[in-house]
Amino acid sequence: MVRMLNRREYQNTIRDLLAVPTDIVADFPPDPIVAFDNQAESLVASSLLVEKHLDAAETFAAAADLGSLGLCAAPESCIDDFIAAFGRRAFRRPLTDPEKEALRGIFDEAQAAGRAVDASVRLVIEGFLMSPEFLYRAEATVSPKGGVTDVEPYELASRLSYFLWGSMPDDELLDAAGAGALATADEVEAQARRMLADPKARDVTKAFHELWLQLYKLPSTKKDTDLYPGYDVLQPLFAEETSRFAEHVFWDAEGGAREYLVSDTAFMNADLAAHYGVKGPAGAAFEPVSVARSDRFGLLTQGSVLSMFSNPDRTSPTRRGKFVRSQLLCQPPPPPPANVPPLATGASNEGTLRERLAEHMQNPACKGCHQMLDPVGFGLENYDTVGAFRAEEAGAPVDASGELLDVENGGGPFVGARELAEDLTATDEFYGCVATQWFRFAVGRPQGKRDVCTVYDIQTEFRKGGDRLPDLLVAIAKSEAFLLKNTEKAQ
Amino acid sequence: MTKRTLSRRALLRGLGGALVGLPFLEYYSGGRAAADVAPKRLLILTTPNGTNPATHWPTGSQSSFSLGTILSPLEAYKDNLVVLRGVDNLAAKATGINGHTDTVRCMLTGRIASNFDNDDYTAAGGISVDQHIANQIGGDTAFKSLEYVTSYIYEHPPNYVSFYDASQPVPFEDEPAKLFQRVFGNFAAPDDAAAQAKRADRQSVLHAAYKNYAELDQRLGSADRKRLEAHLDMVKDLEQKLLKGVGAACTVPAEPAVDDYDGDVGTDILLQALACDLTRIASIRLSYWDSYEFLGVTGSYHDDYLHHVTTDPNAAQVVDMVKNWQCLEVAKIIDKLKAIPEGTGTLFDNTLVLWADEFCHGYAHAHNEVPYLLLCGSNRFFQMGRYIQYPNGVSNNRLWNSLIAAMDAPGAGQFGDPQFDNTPLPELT
Repeated sequence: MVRMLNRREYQNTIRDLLAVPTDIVADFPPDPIVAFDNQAESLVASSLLVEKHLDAAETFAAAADLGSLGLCAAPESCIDDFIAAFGRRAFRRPLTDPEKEALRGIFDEAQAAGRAVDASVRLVIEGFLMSPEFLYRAEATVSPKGGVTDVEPYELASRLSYFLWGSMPDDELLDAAGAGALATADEVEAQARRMLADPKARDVTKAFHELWLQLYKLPSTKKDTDLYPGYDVLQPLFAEETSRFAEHVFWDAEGGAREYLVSDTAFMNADLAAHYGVKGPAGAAFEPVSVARSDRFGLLTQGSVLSMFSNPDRTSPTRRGKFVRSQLLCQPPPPPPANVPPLATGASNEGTLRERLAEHMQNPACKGCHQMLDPVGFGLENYDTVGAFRAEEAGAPVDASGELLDVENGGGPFVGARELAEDLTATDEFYGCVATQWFRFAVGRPQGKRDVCTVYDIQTEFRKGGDRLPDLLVAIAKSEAFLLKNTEKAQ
Repeated sequence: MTKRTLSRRALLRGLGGALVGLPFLEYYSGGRAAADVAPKRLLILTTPNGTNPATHWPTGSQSSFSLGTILSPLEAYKDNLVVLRGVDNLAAKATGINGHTDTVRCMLTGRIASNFDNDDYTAAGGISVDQHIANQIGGDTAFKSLEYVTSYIYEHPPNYVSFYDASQPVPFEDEPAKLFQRVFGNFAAPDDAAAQAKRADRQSVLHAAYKNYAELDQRLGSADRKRLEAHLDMVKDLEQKLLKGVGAACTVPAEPAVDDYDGDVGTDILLQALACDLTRIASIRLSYWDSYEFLGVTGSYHDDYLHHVTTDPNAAQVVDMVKNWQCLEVAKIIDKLKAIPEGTGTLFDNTLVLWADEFCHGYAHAHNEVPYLLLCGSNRFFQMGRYIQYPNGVSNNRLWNSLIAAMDAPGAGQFGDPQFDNTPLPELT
């Protein structure tokens, strides 16, 4: 399916294509987040976006340094070469003759209208930026016989670069595509490993972590300012902490994916360490901190997750449980059923939270889902709605006992966050889920029926290699979902 | 309406931010001849989270009724409103999903969602009624439609209500300064040489892009082609907009500061766009969702009050207060429409306002008796001043078809999934 560049990809692509400031891309309407921000089905044009594209094209073309883009000193004589060379980078494949002619037409019209030569070239660049071959990743989706076919080399180059860099292919990748050197799994793997070593790969892992862990919800997470006056200062620190932590686990942690949940390394500055009550750095800068034998270990004990999936004035074991189920185990609960019978009169904000939520377990209409959610969230009750540790709540010791149902291995009753985290790392579902989430992000669509075997193979390879995350990305890049595509039969 | 100092920079801004040496008001002059009938406009206001049915509905008969606590801010407009009770969101009801997602993604489409993923706010089953009307009658204006949300940050993920087609949400503008730039910052004086040159260049660029769309089309399957054609149509609309001069005598609101997120400021700009006939279809989402700390509500509005509205009198009081505040916001918008003169009357006379909530009440997020309310300063669209009740319930799809008819757009009686009945409501005349 054609896939429009999302805001992030558009911005990265402009950076790599034109080397100009890209701040104004922040004015584009936000991309719909359907699990991730890059799902082909949801990325659609709007009047607003089309206007922004034109504004942006004009701004970027005006700012570009034409010399460094390879324009010769006398552009009238080399405009065709410029269109061909720049065009291969802008369209991420060689141009067809009609495309070259269309873009050359802009130059000629501008010249005929008396525009300066530079200005005429800049209009050509605008023409590139308004063309669908730039705005979309448009793979050929008709073939003589129809059905499943190999992805063409330049298409594969774009698949790899938008997966691993969130941006356009570099010259080396385009050259490899042009030379037929992306033909074997080994060649693809070699390119993938080269690309993962480039700092641009970290743009992608950061975006993945923000979306997978739903950190985009943090800025709109409100707390009761009377009860938690320090929260507004902490909120951006929570985001920074989790982002740095997740990057560390992905790229540097020896233990693979399990470290997301049980790592002894945390990232804090002085304010955050004080909030958590652990020994940390003295200043405002974030530093890695060893938190062994503390009550902080991994994502589930970080302020971001704990506050996002809580209410303004209290925790929410249901929301925390839903986060674990949906994002970490890929077992999203179905929506609440229709026609839920009313709670008994008076059941509202009386009693302890655990007592109030007990209604969920007594009512058969609620129990099916809530038994999957609430008892998981109870395990995190030692952390309040802004993630501070608490041994007691309202004068009574916190009851952090819970139960993890319906998982292969590692399930059953547990007490407290540490046991919950350890139990989760013992499940098969957690590792399968990390692979599934990356798969969806990589291919820009939900997993379909045809992907079942592919994803199973990817998961198996991931586990065999010790759950190492960069290797997971290589396995996806070499998978059939990446190397093959569906086509319609040509009319 | 708040009066602000007109910024000279804003008035002189031309295409793409370049300064054009012609006063803005001059090229906005012209306008319709006095005898012309003002165009019909549609303004859709949406609010989240339902209401407290015990205090929402009026008492009395169709022609003689009293507004209750929640709707009391509209007392002054009692002769200008139609309260509709018993209109159901059947598309949302059909799936048995009671979450917030279906209430909004099915709200204006009259169709079942394209998928049942409860986190997928983009999964509408088809085009929404505002976009249908915009496609039919919006073509003569600079913007087929404009969408604004008063406080995007408080709602995540954004609850799209307008859709171009199945799974194709229309994004909102959420910053007054950007909305201003989009609506008032980007028009050219028709006879200005620099602007004419700019326009010619833009056409040259866009026409080359059109050729590339045609070139690419040959390599694509049918679904992909359809997607690109939709994109291309929007670019062509943009070109038309850039070519067009703007008629209608018009007051330009002041340019807001970039960090000004005041919903009143954005609303002023949107209403002025209606007044200037830059668009005829507009919508505003009044988006505060869970946090009403500014009204003194502690905790989660959704969890701690809304879900207890039918069982806990304290929670119901809080819901009353919040809905009362929302109604006051609606009344403020009507005040503003009424303050803009048009012809011998006001903009309110020529604007049909629909206020639609998500669902009836928050306890079970029920899709029956969704609060819908129509407002207009004249009887040009419907006979106003009524409280219409449907004790047996009717499909909201019928209401959308009534709106289509009232806006003189083709397709009344055909919009939405026919299984949810698309006959216009006979009471709405």
